[in-house]
Amino acid sequence: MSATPDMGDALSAVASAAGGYFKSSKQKTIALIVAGVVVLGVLGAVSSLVFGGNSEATTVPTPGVATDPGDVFEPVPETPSDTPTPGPTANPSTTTNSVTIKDGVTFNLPNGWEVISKGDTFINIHFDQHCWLFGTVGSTQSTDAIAVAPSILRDLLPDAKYSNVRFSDPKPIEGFDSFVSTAMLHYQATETDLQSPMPVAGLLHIFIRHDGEVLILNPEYPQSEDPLPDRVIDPLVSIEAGAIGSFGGLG
Amino acid sequence: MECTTCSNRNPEFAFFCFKCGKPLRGDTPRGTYAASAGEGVHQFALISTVMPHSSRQTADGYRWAMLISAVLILGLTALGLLPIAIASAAFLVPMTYLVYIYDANLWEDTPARVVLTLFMFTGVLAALVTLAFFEWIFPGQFAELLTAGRTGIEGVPIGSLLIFAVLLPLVAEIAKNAPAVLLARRPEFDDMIDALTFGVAAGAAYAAFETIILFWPVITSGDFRTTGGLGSWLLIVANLMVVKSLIYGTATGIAVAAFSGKGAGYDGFTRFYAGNFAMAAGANVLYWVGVRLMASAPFGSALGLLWGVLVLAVLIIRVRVMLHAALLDAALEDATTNMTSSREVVRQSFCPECENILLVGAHFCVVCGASVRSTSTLARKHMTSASRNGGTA
Repeated sequence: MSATPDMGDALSAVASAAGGYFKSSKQKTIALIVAGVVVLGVLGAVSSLVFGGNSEATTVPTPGVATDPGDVFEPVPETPSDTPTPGPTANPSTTTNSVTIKDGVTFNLPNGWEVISKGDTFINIHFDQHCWLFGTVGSTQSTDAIAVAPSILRDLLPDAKYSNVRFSDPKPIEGFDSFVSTAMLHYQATETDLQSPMPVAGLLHIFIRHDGEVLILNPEYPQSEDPLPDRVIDPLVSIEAGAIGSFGGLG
Repeated sequence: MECTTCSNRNPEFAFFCFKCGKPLRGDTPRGTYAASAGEGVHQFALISTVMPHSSRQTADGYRWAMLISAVLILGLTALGLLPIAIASAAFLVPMTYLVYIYDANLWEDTPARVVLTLFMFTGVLAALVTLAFFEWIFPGQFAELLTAGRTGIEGVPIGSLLIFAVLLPLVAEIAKNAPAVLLARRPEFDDMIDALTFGVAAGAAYAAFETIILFWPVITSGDFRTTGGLGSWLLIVANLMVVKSLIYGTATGIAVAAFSGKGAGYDGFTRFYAGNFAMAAGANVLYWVGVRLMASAPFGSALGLLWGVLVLAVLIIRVRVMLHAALLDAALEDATTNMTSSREVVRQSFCPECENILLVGAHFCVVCGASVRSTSTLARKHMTSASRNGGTA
């Protein structure tokens, strides 16, 4: 809305330009701000180079599987050293709650583990703020868990929520002969968010049955320098073992 | 013609009363924003709102500078150069504001001390509050909030939501207000526009330091160039660059302006301040609750960004209504006392907005309605008897 009327024209004076009341010209203002932004960007780049970790190849122990020196990873917290084995190996004395989803897959939750959300085919549980486990059951045409592992991981870690996803080569999980195929990998990623990003690390366990049903278990935890404590690892192994056992028993 | 509001006589050609700024004629444009006469009060205009001393001409410079910088930063984000993009985005608004403060010659005798005190003090508080919430007191709850929300809004844990979307914004608003209120108490900075400027500067500085701390793991991840999820990062960087900075800035600006009040001196911790502080904190709470809940929905980052723009629009309108009313009310008070005010024009000058003549004794341009009080310090130095140090506002 401009408010310059006819009478104003008559009064228009040969005043100094309005910009004369300011220290900088338009060009100088633009140059100062853009230059400042560039300098801060350079500081960001220098910070990245000086304080940035090395993302070159390092070795990560894989639970139950011989470590492949070719894995491209930064060190991540030590993951469970015991490979979950089929069968009801959960310690019933510490189980406080059992939750069953599709195909009778049962999650025996020890003390401290809680259900965040649950549907017919999935469950999301956590222990305090140390670890989360997402489990889901579905169907697949594939009989090769190793081949489908990367695409399952992409579904679990979509671009809309994760960046810088790095994962190890999928490997079979030894000792699960009752399944058609098994695979596991571990990964690191940055979970993106408007408020704050969060570096995470996790594992992907895949079990395909003879009837084409597939169980996917995805423990995940905030990436930190400290290894996961035993009080998290032990029950996690137990929960996974129970779920795998109940899934395998139906196969 | 005589003004029906303050009874002062105006020239026949006047569209606005030169003393109280009220429209005088039927064909006078209604709802003209006193701090920027080319715009309406209820217009969503960023620059003239957070930089009330800028004129139509100088505002254009800031607009272009921010636009060029934003394109540059988003271009870097699209290339995956996140450490550069995030550092630049965090400080775009504070950087622009520093140039504005220098350009408008605010606090001419003590710019370095005032600006550095405000930015560094707020920065330290931002660092302490952010580290306390995200690292020291609630180290795992934010991770729980992010992870639990993956399976939909019903999975969002209420306790963590209250911590990071309600308690944190409340504590942060206190931290943003503290340094700005301390400065607004000083006699040389008792003008409401000064207080608004302190508030915006403190809020934007807080946002910048908070961003750097929270996104430090990305800056120092060792991945100088990110390849995946760049669509999300474009939304995140746009949010950091403009929306978050300006929501924090305008919200705090509203509260600190209310602390200052419309007249000379400062009103202090009145009910008016309490109401506006509640509004500022409420806007931040509303913003973060919306962002957190929408994060669980498909296209959550895009929805969160849009929600932020909506909250920002409300805050911008609130700042404009508040400042406009304050400029008019303060001028009316001066006009009815019939005493010479330090805010009025004492020598023939020209309006920085429309370049028409400003009458001697004017608080407003009779042609465009622009307030003399909202012009730059250099302009007011030429027009009025006000002295920045120790002078009355």
